[in-house]
Amino acid sequence: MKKLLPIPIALLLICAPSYLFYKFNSWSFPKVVSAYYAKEFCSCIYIERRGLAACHDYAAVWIPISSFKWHKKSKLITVVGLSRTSSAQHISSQLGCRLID
Amino acid sequence: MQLLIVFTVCCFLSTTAYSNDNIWPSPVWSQKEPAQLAVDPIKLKAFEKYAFSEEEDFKSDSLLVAYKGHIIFERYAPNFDRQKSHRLWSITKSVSIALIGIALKESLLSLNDLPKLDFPQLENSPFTKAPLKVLDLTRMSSGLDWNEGYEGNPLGSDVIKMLYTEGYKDMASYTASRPIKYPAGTRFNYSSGETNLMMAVLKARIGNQKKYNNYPWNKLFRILNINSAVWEQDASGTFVGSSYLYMTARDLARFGYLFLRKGMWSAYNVLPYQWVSRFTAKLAPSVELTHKKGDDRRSSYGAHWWLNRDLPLKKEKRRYPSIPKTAYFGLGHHGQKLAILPSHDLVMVRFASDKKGSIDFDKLISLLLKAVPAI
Repeated sequence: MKKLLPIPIALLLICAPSYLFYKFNSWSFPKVVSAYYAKEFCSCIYIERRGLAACHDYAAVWIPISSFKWHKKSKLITVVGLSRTSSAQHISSQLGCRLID
Repeated sequence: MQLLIVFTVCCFLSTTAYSNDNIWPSPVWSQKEPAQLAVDPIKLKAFEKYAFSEEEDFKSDSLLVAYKGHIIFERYAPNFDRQKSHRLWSITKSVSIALIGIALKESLLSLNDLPKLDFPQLENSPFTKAPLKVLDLTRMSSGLDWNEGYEGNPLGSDVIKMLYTEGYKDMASYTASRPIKYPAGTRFNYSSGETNLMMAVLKARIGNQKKYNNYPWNKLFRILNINSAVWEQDASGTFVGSSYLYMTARDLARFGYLFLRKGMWSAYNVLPYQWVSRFTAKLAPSVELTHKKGDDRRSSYGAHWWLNRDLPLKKEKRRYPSIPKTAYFGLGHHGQKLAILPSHDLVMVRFASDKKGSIDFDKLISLLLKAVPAI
């Protein structure tokens, strides 16, 4: 005969993942991966002109990103990492790049 | 009579030739061989060897020394050169304070101004007798709660939150919303947020976004022939005065030279000596009142410049024992260095990508000073 889990444990098993999922989504920290990559790649490539490989290397942190898009016409870089999306854009030769989203 | 004229001309030429105050890198830097200025080339080689050592876990990208108004040493790692701008990270702060000094000269701003007039979040201070002033921001002594950790503390770092997650759209507002933990002026706590709050107060005083955008160029960079500067803003249009300025090593040496020449540029007084002295020679009083751990306990700070002073109240000797007490520095993330040494009439710029380890700054400068005679 199967034993049912005590109600409090069953509730915990259902609620804990939901709570953690909620906390992760409302937590700002995960954005740092995509935001740092987008902003610092933009500054590296357009201002410092270090070249593609060096700029990818500079912008990477220890958590890998899952998507990188570079729209050269609008000078817009969009990066996804830890389920967060960030975009940086080159504004002007004087004001450089800016994290816009 | 002819002899007298020749003698007078000779005297004049010799005076101008040896008066370093008359040498300006305008429009370009003059270069000299080290031996021409009695600099020991063999000892200078030891300085270079240490800075670019492949056995160490730091990585120098560019290294430049300007001595008595002439570049005597300059080297770039592969992929860097004298035309390429480099990020200054926190050396940006020392340029920000120069702009504040210029704004003080123009009476746009006063050190007694209250940032709460522009940022009502600061009204809720429990320390009503010690309201936060611009002066406190210049000395990193606001009393606002702030954690400046980078990679060492990514979860708790306010600077990461400000630049990349919670505060990137309006960094000054993010900073002003931090809890007020101490009475203003009583605790030294290095904070990139305070610089950006200071730059937002400057924006409010200038009162016009276009004028503000051009202010660093009109009041500083064009006068110094700094052509490579790029200075990024946040989405609210405030210069990221803490971190986001870029320029070439030669141009950063020009900025350093302005301070070495006490705010003068040729015949033009860009920054009154009163402010140069206040920012670079006067220890922020809160430094002596604040206990820190490790090497930080010996750190000394003026106003957006690191100093190298003994701290008698804390019974601590200066942080860099091989470097003169009169020296001051702009220091940035990943090993960026701008060193001003009035005792040797010298400016040193080091750009770096020290992601694994950091260079021994005391050793680097002491090797340089072994090669270069004091004035």
